[in-house]
Amino acid sequence: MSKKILVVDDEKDITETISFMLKAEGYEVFCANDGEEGLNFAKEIMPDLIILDVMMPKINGYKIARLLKYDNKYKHIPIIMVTARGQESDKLIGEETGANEYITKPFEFEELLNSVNKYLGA
Amino acid sequence: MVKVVIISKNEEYKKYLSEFDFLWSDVFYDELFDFRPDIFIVDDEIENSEEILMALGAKNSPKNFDIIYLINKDYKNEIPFGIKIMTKPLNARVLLSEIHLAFENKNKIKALTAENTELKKNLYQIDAFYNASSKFAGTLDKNKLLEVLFETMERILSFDISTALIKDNLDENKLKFFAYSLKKITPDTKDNLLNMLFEAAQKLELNGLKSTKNEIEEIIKIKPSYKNEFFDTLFLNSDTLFAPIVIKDKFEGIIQIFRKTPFTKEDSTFFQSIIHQVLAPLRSVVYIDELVGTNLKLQKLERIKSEFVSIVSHELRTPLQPINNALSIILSEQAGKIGEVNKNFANIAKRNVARLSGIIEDLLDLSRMQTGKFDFKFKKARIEPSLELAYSTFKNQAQLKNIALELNIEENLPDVYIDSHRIDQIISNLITNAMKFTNEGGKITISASSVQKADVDNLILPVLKNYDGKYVQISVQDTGIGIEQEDIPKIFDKFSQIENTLSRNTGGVGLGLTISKYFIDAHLGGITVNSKKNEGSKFNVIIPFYDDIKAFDIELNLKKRNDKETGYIEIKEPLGLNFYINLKRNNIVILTKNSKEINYESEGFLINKVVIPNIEKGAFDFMVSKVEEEISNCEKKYDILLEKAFYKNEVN
Repeated sequence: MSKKILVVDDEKDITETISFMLKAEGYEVFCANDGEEGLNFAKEIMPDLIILDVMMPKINGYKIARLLKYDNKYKHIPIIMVTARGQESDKLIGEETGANEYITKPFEFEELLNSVNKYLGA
Repeated sequence: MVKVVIISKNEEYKKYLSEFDFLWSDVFYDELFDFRPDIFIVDDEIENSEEILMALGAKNSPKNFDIIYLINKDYKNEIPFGIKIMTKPLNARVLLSEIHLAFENKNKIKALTAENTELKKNLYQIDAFYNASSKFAGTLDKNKLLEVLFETMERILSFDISTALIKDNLDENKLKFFAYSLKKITPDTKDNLLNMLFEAAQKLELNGLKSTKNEIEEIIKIKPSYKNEFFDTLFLNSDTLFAPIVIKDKFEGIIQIFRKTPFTKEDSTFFQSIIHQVLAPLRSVVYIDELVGTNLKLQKLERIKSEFVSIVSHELRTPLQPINNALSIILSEQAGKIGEVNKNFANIAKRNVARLSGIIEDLLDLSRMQTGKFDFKFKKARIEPSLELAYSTFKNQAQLKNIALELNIEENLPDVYIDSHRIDQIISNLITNAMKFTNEGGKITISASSVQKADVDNLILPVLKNYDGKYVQISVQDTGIGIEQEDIPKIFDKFSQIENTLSRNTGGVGLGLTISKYFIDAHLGGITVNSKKNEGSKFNVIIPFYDDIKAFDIELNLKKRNDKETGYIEIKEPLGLNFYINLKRNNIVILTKNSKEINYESEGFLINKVVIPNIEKGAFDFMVSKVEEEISNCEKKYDILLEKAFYKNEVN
């Protein structure tokens, strides 16, 4: 059975392109376009990995990461945090909230794919 | 008319003196002085003539008259100093000429004395002037200037009250009322004084007096010795002088002084000249205030501009990510095969997305640079990986342009204290520039070596903290078009390439070197440029060898830069630690010598955040273990620390 990846980003163009590429790599991909939807999806579908944008309406990426990482039921799920480059202090918070990986925009798809493969062992 | 008193028994002398206003007496008595003689003549035949001489001498200080003593040839006694002698029998002509001479001398002395008094007075005034002007020159504070002015006027004009109405430094619609009084003044008196000045100021009908009376700030000083005495209606029957202070045809202020004894013409002249004296520094103050105001406005504009750039850049960046993703999908042919021609176009699009995002990153860096919002992450590291990364990144690009790219790294380079990401950016910027300005067939050499600072010529950056000794030098040398000698200092300016005609051929916004310079600065390093037109350029970046002190300096410098706007104080080595306190954020950041950082939230003195990766016992003068639970263990030392820190804070 193919591994499930949840992509959370308020930019539809981004979730669409990322999901296309990940699907092409053989993953099952779910998309959410705001934080609340993302959190609900995460709990509902129990993905094998989450790609999480930081700046989002309703619930931001940090909060989602913290909520999941402090919950025994979900804390095993690897989280790849995506945010604008240069917000290094964000990175610190990202690490504290327990995100496993941190990728800065703008990124190349290969970079993201490498990180994903690292956790899902493909 | 010469007045002569002669004390003698010989009445014959009267005959000699007939041409003078004279008094003849055969005894000495005090009332003789009332005659105000110019010359006393004493005959030695008079009884007690020597005592009379003594009495005259005593009375003659300061010298009012001459004394002539008439003696016989055989007179043996000593004659007191300053007394003229004539031997009897008297020659009338000699006596007369002697009297005339004495009179002339007396007149000369009188004139000299008068002149002397005048000189003394002038000297005193000049001294006061000199004092005042040296004080005036030393201050650019309006209040202080006025204080000196009042003091000087008091010394020379000894006024009873002086008042002034002066425009406020910062808000030109506001006025300040100064009163300097020897005795206390009642509120009524004060109101009267203020009204008088205000009306006088209004009567001048000068530009720039907009205030109403309620906006006037009052500053009143009373001489301490008279604190319990009042001036009430003094100013009503006093003499007064006043002068407006006008700068560039605009009202700046008005000054008035009151004195019970009337002012003389000289006093008035003095008053005018001292006002004149204060005008020069006051003018400077006004100009400086204007400059400060303009500067503030410019700073605000600069900030708005930076924020604008930052916002716009973020907005520009957001759509680039999906464009890039979409192009990647097309190029990967996951969504369907594309022909070679389409692939080429997609590649062009992708290349330009990269270029555009590079420009946006540069703009963002610039705006961060200007707002001091750069987050640096320094750590002890080796320089080699950065050079190797740069080499592998640019290898293909160089090959495509048929440029030889070489990498030479000296063996066993020591560690440096760097933000590797920024160092990567610096090297990448330098190589990008070299690629831009080097034609096909050229060569670019990247190298790293260790140098002595003394051996580095033409260091361009004003190195923040000069370390003598060893640095790692990173060089990027090309065989490109080179830079004119006179242009070298300009290349670090913002957007320097925009004004350059080359920009059309080479692209880029010309921020690379500006940003690199900023980064190098943060590393307490330096940069040098050697270039020859049409032969090529060599950029050398020097970064100090790692040691604890340099690492500490770098961190401290960074803190200062980031908090330039919020304010900070620095405390050197109390308890053997270096301190750094951020005032506005109300927290304390303590940097220890080994550059580990501890943050305290001062509210409630609870430790809010501890950023020490590994706390080793004994590494610090005080210990903080994992947040609240164990705080009691270190409370004591902690208290001392804060006490010291805040004490310093208060002093500042």
